[in-house]
Amino acid sequence: MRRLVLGALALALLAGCHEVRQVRLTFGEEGEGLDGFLCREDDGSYLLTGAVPPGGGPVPASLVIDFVRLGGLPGCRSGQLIRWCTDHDCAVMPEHRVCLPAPLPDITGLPRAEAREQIREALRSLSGATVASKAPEEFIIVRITATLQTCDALAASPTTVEPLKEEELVGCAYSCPALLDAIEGDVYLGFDTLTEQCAQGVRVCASGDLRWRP
Amino acid sequence: MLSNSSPSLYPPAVSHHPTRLLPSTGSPASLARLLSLLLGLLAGTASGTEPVGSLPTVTILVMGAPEAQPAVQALVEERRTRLPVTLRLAALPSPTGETGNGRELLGLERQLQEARRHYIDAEFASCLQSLGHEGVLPETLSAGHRQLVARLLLWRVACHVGMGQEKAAHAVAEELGILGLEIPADVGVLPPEVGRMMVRGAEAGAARARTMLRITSDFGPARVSLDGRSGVCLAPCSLEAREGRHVIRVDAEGRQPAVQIIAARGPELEVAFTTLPATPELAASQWTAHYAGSSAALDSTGSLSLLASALRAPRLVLLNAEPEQEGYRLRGTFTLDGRVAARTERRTAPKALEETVEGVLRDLLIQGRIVEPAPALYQRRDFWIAVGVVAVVAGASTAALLWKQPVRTEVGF
Repeated sequence: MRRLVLGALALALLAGCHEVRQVRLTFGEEGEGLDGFLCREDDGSYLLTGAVPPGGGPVPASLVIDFVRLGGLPGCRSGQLIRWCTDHDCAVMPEHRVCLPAPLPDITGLPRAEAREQIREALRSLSGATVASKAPEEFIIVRITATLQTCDALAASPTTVEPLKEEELVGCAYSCPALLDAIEGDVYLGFDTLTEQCAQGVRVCASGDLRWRP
Repeated sequence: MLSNSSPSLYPPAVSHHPTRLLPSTGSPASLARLLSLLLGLLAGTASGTEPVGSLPTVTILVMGAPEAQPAVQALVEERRTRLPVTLRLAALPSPTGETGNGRELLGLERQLQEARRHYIDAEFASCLQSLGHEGVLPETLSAGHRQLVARLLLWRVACHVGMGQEKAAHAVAEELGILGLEIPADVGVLPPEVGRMMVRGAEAGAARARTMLRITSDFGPARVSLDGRSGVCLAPCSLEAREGRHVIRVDAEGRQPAVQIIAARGPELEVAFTTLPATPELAASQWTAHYAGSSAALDSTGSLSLLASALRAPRLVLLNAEPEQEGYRLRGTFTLDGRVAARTERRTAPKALEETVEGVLRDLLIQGRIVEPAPALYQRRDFWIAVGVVAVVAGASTAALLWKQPVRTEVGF
């Protein structure tokens, strides 16, 4: 009898036991995925520049990390993603939204390379932070949006996902579609643009349904 | 009816319910035992036995090649057999030798000499007394000693004549004719009046009317003896006899002899015999007399029936090992309660003799319904238990091989 009980217990433990895998989000070794944080407005200033406090100092930004459900496996390029989402139900998964306060440096007037380095350095503080203890078991993209909205304000409605205010956006990056449970190695976050004038791209990137906005 | 010894019946009847050749082994103690059992079952072997106490006893009699004896002896004495029976080895009945018949004859001769002495001394009453009681005559006749009976009658006639009892002397002399006996040579030493009386009486007896005797027996075939003449017919049969007293005896194998003294009168007389089973000793002497000398008839029905009775073996197996060029030919016969229930035959090499003997025994006992044949593999409970265990093990192994541990992915910087 005792053996039976022990056997059943061992079986239950075995069945309830999970293999825990770690997937790390990265902007690349040189911060090459941070292009979405270096976009300029039409007047040539960085998006971040407009958010610098009047007295100077770091921009009080928040990083909003979302898993966007795709309902399938589209291509990785931004055009492919946007086209996919025109006829698929691409949506942010509210239960997985995470917001982390992340002050970003004042990069006004800095050359692009230096600005990239400073932002990379600022985001280094996030190292070790957990975004999700259990990744979704479907194809998603991971999106990180930098906004001037505070995490407290965003956490006001935990069950629904409020669209981020476009005028508060200061940066964005996203991953290729991936099944995080099956992925080998790190998940690379980047921003697909060929020009520094990419404020409009940040707005498209940060939109809830990844719809193209002319 | 003459006196017969009280019959000795077979040992108490034993139930003949077949014993299962492959008894249940109960619940298995371990997987290893189960697997070995499964392997055993697949190999078609029978294993396990019942408790010794409940096993039926089977007597084995081995004949033929003397080299075959040790194999059977080892099988029996070392209990090497896996058959669910208790085996007992028996020997052939040996001839009993002196039957007592010779002593009886000497006794009668002594009586005759005593009567003769009294006759010479003119002691006729003592002469008559010396010749014994009335029962002596039928007993002697049934034993087939007709000449001795004729002499007894002669001396009785002489004694009666000496006493002046003419009528009694005539009646006795008449019996000589009724029984169809010849006047014995002793008549030459007696006075002529005795001889004349004998002739007159015998003629009168022989002239008597005939009666048809219809003889039947409960057990056949039975040899019929009339007035000491053996084998006159096989019952049921009819015989003619002169009116008067006669002694009829029937003899059948495996039965005690039955004797009746009848008074034949009228045209027809029914004579019915009821016999009793032979004692083991009688059966042994009957077997010795009829079958011991002929090896060809050893396994005949009559021989086996007598052997079963003589050896007190309700279940008897007769194994006959005949040497051949390259081994032996084993012939087995199984007798159940005196009746042949099964026969079988196998050839074997000398090395495999013991194994073949067991095979022959198994065949015979299965045919004779003493043991049940091992059930088919799919009918065995143990087989299905083993199959179930193997299926569970196979299922568990497959599940273990195919099972993937659930994965939880943590995402972070």
